[in-house]
Amino acid sequence: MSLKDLLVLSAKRTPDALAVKGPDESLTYGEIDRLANRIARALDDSGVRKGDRVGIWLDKSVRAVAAMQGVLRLGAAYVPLDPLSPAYRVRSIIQDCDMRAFVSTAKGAETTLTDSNANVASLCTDNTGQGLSWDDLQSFSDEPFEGPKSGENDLAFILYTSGSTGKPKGVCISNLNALAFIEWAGDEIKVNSDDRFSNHAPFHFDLSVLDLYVAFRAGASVILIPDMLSYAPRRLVNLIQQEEVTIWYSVPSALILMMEQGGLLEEQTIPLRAILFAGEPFPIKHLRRLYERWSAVRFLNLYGPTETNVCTFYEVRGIKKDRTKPVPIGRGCSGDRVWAVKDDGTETKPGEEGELMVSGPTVMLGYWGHPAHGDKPYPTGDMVRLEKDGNYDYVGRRDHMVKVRGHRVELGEIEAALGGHTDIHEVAVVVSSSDMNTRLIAFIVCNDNTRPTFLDIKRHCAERLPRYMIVDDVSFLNELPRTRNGKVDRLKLKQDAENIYKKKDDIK
Amino acid sequence: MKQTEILDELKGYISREVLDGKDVGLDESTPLLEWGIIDSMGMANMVSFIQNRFHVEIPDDMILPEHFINLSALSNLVVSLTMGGNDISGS
Repeated sequence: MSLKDLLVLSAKRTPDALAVKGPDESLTYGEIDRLANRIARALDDSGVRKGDRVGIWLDKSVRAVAAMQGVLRLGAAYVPLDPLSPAYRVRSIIQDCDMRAFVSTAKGAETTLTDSNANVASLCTDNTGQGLSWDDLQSFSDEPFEGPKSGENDLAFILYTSGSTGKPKGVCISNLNALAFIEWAGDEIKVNSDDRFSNHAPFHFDLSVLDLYVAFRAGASVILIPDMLSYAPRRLVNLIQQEEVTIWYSVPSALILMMEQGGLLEEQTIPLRAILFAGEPFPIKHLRRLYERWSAVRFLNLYGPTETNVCTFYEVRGIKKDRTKPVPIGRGCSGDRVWAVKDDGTETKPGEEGELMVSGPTVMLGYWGHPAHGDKPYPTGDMVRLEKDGNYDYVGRRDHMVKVRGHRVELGEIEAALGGHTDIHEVAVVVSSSDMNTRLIAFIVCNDNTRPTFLDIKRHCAERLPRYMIVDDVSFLNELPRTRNGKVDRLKLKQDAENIYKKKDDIK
Repeated sequence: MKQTEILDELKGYISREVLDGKDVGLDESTPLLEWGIIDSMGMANMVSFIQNRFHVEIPDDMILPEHFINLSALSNLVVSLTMGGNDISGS
């Protein structure tokens, strides 16, 4: 069994059932299966072989999903890329994983594929530009494609996340890594062919893996939510109603926006039977309102870094009135073993804090270009507390990684990007969070007296980083505060930032 | 209300509420979404501001990134929603 089989098997069982509905087109299982066969043959014809990497830089679309399935049929690995990322970053990823082919729009290919990566084959979802076009696919057979056998430890896809050293790093997920948690999730949520999954997360974000493949495994339908709808919470709520979505999965901030601005709590009824959330703690006051309004819906908090897939979960069954912290991340799932270790290396007992460790089938193969991770436990960097009932509570990070609306952000990557600005001598980025807002603040020391404008800094970030990593504010200093041993005093900067925002929020 | 006045109001809002006065270089073509000046939450707040300040209703299907890419697009949206644009000059 490999990841590609999930869709193939459902296409055999229920070829006429709706598989994926996107903003522009919908395909049944039979149709997407045949399209994936054509794509596999076209990419094969372009020289893509087992183990090669194929980038997919597209907005949410049925074609993007079909392209992923086509790549898997070749035994190759797909690399979904953030459609909102600047071309600069996409080019660096193409080089990092030595991509063999690239599926994009003609415009995307034109801005990304330069002389330095001229050997990368391209397939365009529109019919202009160079390379293979979507119309060209018609010349390839849609009969079942017998590609090379994929083993459970073969690479299925790579998800790039923020890297602390300034470069994004590629998390390599095998067939087994993905299948282990998809099978667990499908069974736990009892997904069946009548279910209609929303796909809110972008494809480069690990949450989308669950939406697509848990649905494919069950022969259920996936309703793709185009990125632009994330700006229109009322339309998201309408989409749930009109498309009769039964399972919703997103970061909590998307749900909060739908509650605050989209009228999610004011609806008379909703078709949802399960709401899954992950990526960041769900502020308890908001979760409580949502849970109390829709108490017949199952609420599951899923947890897991990209490197481990979903490895713990917690089902909400009542929220105590006096609870002020978010619900727990729960206990191990997906066949993984999870535990927490204290600084002295011993395992935590109830009431103690430690770093969460994970080992088992869902733990990644490793980072692209780095030695394989092997069977070692994966240290998550997340500090947790073991509760008496066996659930883990999330406490915080032990490093400089932060979450912005569920996206992982290594502050070091932003600092490296800003450090390349000609006017900037030194920079430290900190995060300041409140219930509704996570702000990235850059403290900057300039060269000489040339001070860039705030908008200049925003533009500099936008040319190098994904949107969610663009700083929200800047503060110029003559020098960065230091601790006694000479390190940048981040704690002080964070306190300074939080004091500034507290004052502003109080005024408002 | 003239389009230039609408533009000034919108610019004032961004300058005050989002950029906290650090608005040197902000003009009608500054990319609001691409440079991360407004995000999904910021867009929702902007919609509330526009509805309250200009007494217009922005239909759900008009809340699209293309209307929020910069101040120029945004002021065009407001103009198109107010009085059919009849009393607007300078557009």
